[in-house]
Amino acid sequence: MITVGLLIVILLPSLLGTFVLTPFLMGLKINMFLRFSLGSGLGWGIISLWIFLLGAFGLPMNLAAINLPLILIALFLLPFQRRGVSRAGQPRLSSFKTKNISFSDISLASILFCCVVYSLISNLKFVPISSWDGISTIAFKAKFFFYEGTFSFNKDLPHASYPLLVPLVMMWEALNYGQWHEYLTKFVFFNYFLNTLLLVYGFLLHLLDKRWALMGTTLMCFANYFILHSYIVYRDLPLAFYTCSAILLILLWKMNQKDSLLVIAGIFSGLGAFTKLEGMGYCFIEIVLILYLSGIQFNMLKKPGIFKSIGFNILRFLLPVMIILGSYFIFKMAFHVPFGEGGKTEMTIAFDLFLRVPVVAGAFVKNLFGTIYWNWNWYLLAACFLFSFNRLRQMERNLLTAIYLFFLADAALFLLTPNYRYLLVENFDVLLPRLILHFFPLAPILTTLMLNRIFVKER
Amino acid sequence: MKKLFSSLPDIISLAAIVLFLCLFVMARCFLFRLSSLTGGVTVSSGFFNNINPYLNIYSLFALALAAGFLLIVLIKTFQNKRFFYDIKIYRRLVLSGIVLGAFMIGLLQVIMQLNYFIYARRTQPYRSLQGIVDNIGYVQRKYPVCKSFAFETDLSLDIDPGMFLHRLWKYFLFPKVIKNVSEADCIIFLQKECYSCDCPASFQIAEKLSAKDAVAVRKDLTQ
Repeated sequence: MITVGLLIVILLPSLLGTFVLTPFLMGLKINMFLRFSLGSGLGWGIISLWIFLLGAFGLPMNLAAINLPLILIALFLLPFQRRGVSRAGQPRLSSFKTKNISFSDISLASILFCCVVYSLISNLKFVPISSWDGISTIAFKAKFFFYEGTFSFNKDLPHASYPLLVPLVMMWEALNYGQWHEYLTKFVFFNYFLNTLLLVYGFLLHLLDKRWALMGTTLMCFANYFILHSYIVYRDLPLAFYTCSAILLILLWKMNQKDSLLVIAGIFSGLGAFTKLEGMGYCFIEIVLILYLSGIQFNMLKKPGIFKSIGFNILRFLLPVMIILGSYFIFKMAFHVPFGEGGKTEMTIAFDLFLRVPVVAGAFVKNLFGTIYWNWNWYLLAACFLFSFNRLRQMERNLLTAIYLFFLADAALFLLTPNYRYLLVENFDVLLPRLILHFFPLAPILTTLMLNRIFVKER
Repeated sequence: MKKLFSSLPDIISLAAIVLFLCLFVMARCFLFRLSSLTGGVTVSSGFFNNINPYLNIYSLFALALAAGFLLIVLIKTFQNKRFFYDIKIYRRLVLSGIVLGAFMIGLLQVIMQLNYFIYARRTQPYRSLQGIVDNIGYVQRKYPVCKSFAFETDLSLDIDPGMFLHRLWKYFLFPKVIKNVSEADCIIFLQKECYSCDCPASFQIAEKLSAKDAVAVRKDLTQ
């Protein structure tokens, strides 16, 4: 039963998501790694939303009610797959191309392989669900839903306002295994880890070549905190995947001018907001990025029809976000679940607002450069930036803007909400590194692009 | 020099391989030294005793790098005076320094990563957590008559570690629930100095898990 369940857990989200994604990517030259990564993430999201709908309408949340309609949808979409995949070559930023598999490719790939195997073994064998948030909220809710088969008591569970994507997919995994398994139910975290690796690799492969893509992905794997989150039960890695997917899709939309990419970015952003409360804040960052890329960036506001075009772009992005978030808000109202979390989400203009600025800035610097969490990723990014800040390519500038926006948003979170107290406690890395993790995958991508420009263009 | 920079991925991969080969030996030696220096601290966050001990090493490395550059510039200028005025060479020297520095930082931090993976798992926090998880599983298997539990401890449940332990037991015991002593079938005594003194008359100590931990079962369920 467990083996069959594990097979369903591995295959159904990936196939369903990839099949649903294909019509949106019709005619686009997207490599299979990026396609699979986005598809798998979308698949997990669709499953969680489907369970959410069943539960919200009081329908039975059993295996047949969940899996059968999804399998039918996947089978229905199967014949459309061949038509949607474009096999043409893709334009790249770098003219430098590797022809054969070299020693460095194999070595970089073997490092990645070691990290993936390590994460898999830790997930399935070594580390039980024992993280604070896991036992008190995430896995506890999932276990509760699994045994009770209803959402009716959600308002009485700890942190009722927290979004439900991760508990719901953990519950779905347990349903497939036929039991609550303390190790196997964590498979979803390994899946998001793998998806994030493939996302970064696929995106870099879209722009550069195989060797640089491998290098960027390896850079990301050197970050301890990223690996740690691949086997402990926190919602930060799934949120990082959805947030970075949305950002990268927006950047791809800018590159390809394909409007359907904005719709998928909106879906991913909505799924991010359904993963963690911070995801809602990140929707605003993505809107600002779209505004920046739509016209403000090129000083094109005088161009006729530009406002209409910007409006449509925002609408394309916002519609899926509003559908996902709107349904969740209606659910919260119907089930008497609070919208925010007391002592965490309310805005306050503190009397010491300006005194907080150096503390927040210092905490960021200490976390980025003084901890063992990120390895040398931020050092390398800072060094690359110092050497090329006036010669950035368009894609690098856009990525850098996104990273700036995330830093600003996280700083605002500490300046304007009671979360500032987390910076004052002795062990101040309770919240900040988790916030940085949400956009961390963008850093190795940007670093690789910059390194590529610095070193390869000199040839 | 130009050739060296153009094959950056090869340099990185070569260094990465050397790094991975050295790690298992180095990590243990280094950690032994580090723990003896700091008095045996636990790795549970990004810091050792709230500081990153490698900042000093980074500074030393940066100083050594700067000294190395000066030396190279002096020697090269001595050989060819035009070298001193070639700004491109300085840029490349600094870039190569960054790459070297990055690898140094990478090496040190990957050792920490391995420490977390290998060393910390056998000490804190995973070993103790695994012990608690094993205890909970043991209690559940051995006492299936217990449909509900009470939780008794000398620790405060408002702060860690009491709060964390309470939630850990609550999570792993579910769907069996934690209730008051008067309504429960069994009592979990955790970190209790004298659990036999606090055991109600209607319960009897069934299992001693450690000097301060025990399980008590209601007498009518044991008969």
